[in-house]
Amino acid sequence: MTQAGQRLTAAGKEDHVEVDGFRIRYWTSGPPRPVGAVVMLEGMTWGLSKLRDALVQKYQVIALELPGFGASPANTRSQSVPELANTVAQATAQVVPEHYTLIGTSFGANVALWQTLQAPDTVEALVLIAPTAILPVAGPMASTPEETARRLFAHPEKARGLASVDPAIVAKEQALVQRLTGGMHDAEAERRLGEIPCATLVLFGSEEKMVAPEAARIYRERIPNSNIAFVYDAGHLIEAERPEALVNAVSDYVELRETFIVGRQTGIINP
Amino acid sequence: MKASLFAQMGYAERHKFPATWPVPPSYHDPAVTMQSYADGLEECALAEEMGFDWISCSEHHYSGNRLTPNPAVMAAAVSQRCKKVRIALLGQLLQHHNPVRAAEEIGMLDNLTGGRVIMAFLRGIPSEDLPYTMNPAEGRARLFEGMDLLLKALTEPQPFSWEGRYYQFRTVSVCPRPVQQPLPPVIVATRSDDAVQYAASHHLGLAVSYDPVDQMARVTDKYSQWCQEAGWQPTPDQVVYRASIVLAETDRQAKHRLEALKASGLGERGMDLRSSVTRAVVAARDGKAFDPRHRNVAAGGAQGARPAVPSRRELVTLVGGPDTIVKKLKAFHDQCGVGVVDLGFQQTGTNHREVMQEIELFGREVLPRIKEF
Repeated sequence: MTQAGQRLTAAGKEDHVEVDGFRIRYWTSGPPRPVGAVVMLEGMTWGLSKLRDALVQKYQVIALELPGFGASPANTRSQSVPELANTVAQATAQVVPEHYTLIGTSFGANVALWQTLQAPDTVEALVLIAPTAILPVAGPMASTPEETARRLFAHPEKARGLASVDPAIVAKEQALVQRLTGGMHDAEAERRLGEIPCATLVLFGSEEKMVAPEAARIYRERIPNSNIAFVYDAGHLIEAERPEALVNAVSDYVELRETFIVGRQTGIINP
Repeated sequence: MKASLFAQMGYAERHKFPATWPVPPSYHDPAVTMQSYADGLEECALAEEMGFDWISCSEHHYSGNRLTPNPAVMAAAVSQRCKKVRIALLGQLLQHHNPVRAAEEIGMLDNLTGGRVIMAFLRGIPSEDLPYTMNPAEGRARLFEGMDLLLKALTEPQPFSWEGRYYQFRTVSVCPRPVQQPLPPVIVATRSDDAVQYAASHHLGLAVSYDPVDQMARVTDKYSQWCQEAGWQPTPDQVVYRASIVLAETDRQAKHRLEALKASGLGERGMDLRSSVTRAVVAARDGKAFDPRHRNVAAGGAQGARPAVPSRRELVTLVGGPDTIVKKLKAFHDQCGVGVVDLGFQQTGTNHREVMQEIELFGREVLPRIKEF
């Protein structure tokens, strides 16, 4: 098991593919007979390790390192999020030949959204965790670790107990994200949300501060088969603050998709 | 300052109740209950006629001192009798309930009243932790999450799922939406620091019940400071004081009346818990265990049980003639910033006729003067 805050790259069988001149690493893990494939795209800073640990019990999980993220070299070639997503879609096609569920968090969710728009026939279900494509909160970059923690957490004091990420990696990733998004609303992504054909779950922390509160409803309004979920008492980094709730909701959705709204817990106390 | 009638809806023969909670259902005669509601609604109608601004309904269980286990049902009844006043659910014990259902009730009420609903939430006294077997240690956290969920349910225009600690709903889509947008006024009834902070940080109102003015000022001073730190200032309608009142034409008559009530056993019968149960609830609220075999626990039957926690307040908080009451309310206004006083006239031992006389006297002699504050 891994702790909240560890990168996805912490476990699994490592391999790589070559796409668009990038050497893209990925890690595969799962049971001998998986019931399906799940592709996970990390965002900056904290990852989805606990969610991966849960999903590998049933699924073949492929954690894909975005070019310019993690230990990969700085990405100076991708010129837009759609272009980066196209690269990732090609890489995914080499690793997972058929259909898969796609999960992304934060900037990784923005890439996942565009990947789904570009490869709609291969993505069976889409899970966007705290995406920042729609209505990101404008403002200067956080200048201190304390300010960063206040923006990312409902309870900033929890940031201290998490696995730390190399500041150089954070700076490299931050520069790429800033160059590709400018911290701006992605109007083109919003316009095309209606083209997403698969079941889609979008999750936000109830104390999310990186995007406007109105963002969630836009996804729900525009994506035909979508659900939005609020994870109580969590900020942008949901896994860090409410890992059990995130794992519960996403695991249910990956298995059940839009039927995850059907209650399955027993109310029996003394049978 | 505005005035609110606390629509207690007391069972007319509550003076016959046993001392301890819960009051057995056998003490309730439906004929008396129906008359009690009719009397209470008549008191509401008179209050509206006399110029009261709000009528409030509270939530209490398994007693009958206040026949309102569901304040939303009571508010709906009041709203059909009183067409102008605002109606406050002051307050709901949200930690016991399905917050989504509570949001639906508020949505209905706000539409049925044409946008006159005010909502308030609180944790309540120890006996309020018992009706539905909730763990008292979880009451506060359930209340906070319940309020967050309810507010989200009333404001989110698209269906959503809620992944909480105490509540999980995979589909929330509350209809009807409230008339008052973005939300009807919301109040937190409390004197606890964490709940006062919650109210301040969420830009919600504050209600304090029955405290003397100096004690309430300590609470409202903190509230005011925390509101300022959160970048806002509450309006007068967002600071509410609930009081019990004995009003007469003169101070002397009021004191005489109070003495008579005390002699006849003034008090809210059927509200006290057995000492051991109170201690167990208080301990559980702090996450501690309580051994009922403790030697200090009072023995004996229900009639002999005494509350373990001494009351922090007088049984009646406002006593006097009109001049005295105006002076006391001015102190709450000046020292605590109170903009709405919520008054309970139904003391144990008073009857409907006396309550009507007091409401009329208040409306005639007190209300015009406090409205000038």
